[in-house]
Amino acid sequence: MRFSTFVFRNVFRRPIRTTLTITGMAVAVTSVVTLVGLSDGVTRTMLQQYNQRGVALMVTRKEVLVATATMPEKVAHDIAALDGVVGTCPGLLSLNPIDEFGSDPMVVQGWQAGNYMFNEIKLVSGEILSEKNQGQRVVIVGKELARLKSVKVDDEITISDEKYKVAGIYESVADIENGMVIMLLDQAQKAFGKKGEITGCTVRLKDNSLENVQATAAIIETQIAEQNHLKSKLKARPPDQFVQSNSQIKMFKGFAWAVSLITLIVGGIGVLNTMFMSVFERTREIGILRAIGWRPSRVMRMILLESVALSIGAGIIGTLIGLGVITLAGFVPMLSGAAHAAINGQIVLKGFAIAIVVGVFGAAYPAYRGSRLLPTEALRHE
Amino acid sequence: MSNNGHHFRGRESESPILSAEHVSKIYTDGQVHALVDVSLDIYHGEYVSIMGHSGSGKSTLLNMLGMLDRPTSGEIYLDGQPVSQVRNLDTLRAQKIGFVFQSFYLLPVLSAVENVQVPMFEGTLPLAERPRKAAELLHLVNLGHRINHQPQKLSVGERQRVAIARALANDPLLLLADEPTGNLDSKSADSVFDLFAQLHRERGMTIVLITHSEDLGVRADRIIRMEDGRLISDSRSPGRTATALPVANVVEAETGRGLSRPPRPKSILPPFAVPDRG
Repeated sequence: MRFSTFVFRNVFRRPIRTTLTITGMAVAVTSVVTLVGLSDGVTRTMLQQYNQRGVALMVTRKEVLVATATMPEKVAHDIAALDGVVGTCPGLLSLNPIDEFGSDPMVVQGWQAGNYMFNEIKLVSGEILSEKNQGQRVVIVGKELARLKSVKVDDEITISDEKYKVAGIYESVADIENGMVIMLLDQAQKAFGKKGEITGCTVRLKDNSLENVQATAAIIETQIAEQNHLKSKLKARPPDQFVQSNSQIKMFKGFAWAVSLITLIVGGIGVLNTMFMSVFERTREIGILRAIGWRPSRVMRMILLESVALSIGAGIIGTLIGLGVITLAGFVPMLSGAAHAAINGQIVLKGFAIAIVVGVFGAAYPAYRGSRLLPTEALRHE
Repeated sequence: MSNNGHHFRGRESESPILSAEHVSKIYTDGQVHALVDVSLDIYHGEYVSIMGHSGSGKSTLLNMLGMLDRPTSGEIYLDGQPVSQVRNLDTLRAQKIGFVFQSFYLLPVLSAVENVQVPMFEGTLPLAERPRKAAELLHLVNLGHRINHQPQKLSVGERQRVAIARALANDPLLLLADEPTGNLDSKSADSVFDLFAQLHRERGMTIVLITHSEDLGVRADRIIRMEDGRLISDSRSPGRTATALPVANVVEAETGRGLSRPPRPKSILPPFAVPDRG
């Protein structure tokens, strides 16, 4: 008989208590997998949309709320004129409810007609937006959003009290974009009352070396900013920095970890309680084990491994439920991209690692106490 | 020096397997003198029962002899070597001493053969050989037909037999039993004592046990009686020829001089091996 067999059998001595402890911990693991997974998914999918397209810099206002802080569209044209810049995509992003889709805000993006970004998305049906659509109230809808809301070409949707015709359904390499609505920049500026304004601009460079990216960023933040009366108000960052510093993502991550931490503490206390009870109930038995020569370290290992076995059970159940919840979250259009990006090996590993850490921490003190029992005292225990 | 009553000094040509020399134990909580200057030698192949009323100190003595506790003063020698100099008593216990307790405390989730393997985690037998050895031990205690039964499917007598097989798992030098029949009915108790006698007779096992039962206690070759933490008698069971001569310790009491202890014979066993195992 292996030591692991011995430990595993001990865990199931009290099946109801074991099941309840595993359930408590599984809830904690579920919250970690779901919330942290989704927040990681948001980061990953946002990065994806830039990285897949070779975006070197993301230019926004220094203020944190990308969705509301705007800058003149001219900034994008000035950047495009710089040496070594091969392309820019000025965009206006807005979170707006679409009447036909319910009250949840949807991400609506305005892109300039003829911009290279339109070549980066694949048409599923209908047609792509181009210069000929200037002045028309037409949009294209991401594949995932179209699927969730059963949108077809030629349907009409209402944004800011105006009707827009769906000209096409598209598919993007970036998951996040598959849950969006895209219209032409001039239409978006009109719809959201931001004439001549953009919320950001992506920049592609000929030379993506770190030095060149940093040099270009410096020019944008100083020269271009000054030209547009935005001294110290522009920020040009590589996509990973841009995404990491995004305040909404930071808030979401903070919230995800805060909720997860609370559930982990509750789960950890459950483990602590269970392992304490288990050690207390088995005091005389531990006394016998010590008497027959078990070293304190083996008693400690037994208790810790019992807790780790519980954690692995909780890890499996919690991760499976967490992945299920993420899949369900994928039905919310705003989260569909993040949900898609959230399901990966990393989050499964995270869920398991956290379960095991909680298990080991929860059992540490009971294990210490158990291992410190003197055989004579433990044998006298009533 | 105090009088410990009668004290064996026999078999001085042999080396005692286990000795207590002027062992006292004081429990600091309440200043209880649980053992008072107890000396005794136990030789290879002896079958000893320790009897006495509750609180007479017999369990404390067994705990000292079994290295479950350290004496306040005096010394315990296992195979001629002072136990006080051994740092890792756990490994020493695991390899040299088999314990049987009143409450057998078999693990309910393990079968009999698995329960017997529990001490082997601290032994030296390779993993692959443990089930065979455990099964052999269960055969030895006449439970060969129940090796895969879980404790709750065994009678209390059978459970104590499994506990005895467990005590033998690491081929100990001696077997210590604390009220091994305290939880058994008379029939089961009888059969457990038959088993001790069989182990003693057929395998030459050294056995030291504590019992309340006069009927069962006198079945041992040597009977030690205790009272108030002292040995009050140490004698051979009636009807058995003594190979060791009882030497009354009265000289010590009357003259104030104890019998001089002969030099300890050289150990017949290798020194304590305390391997470090994972």
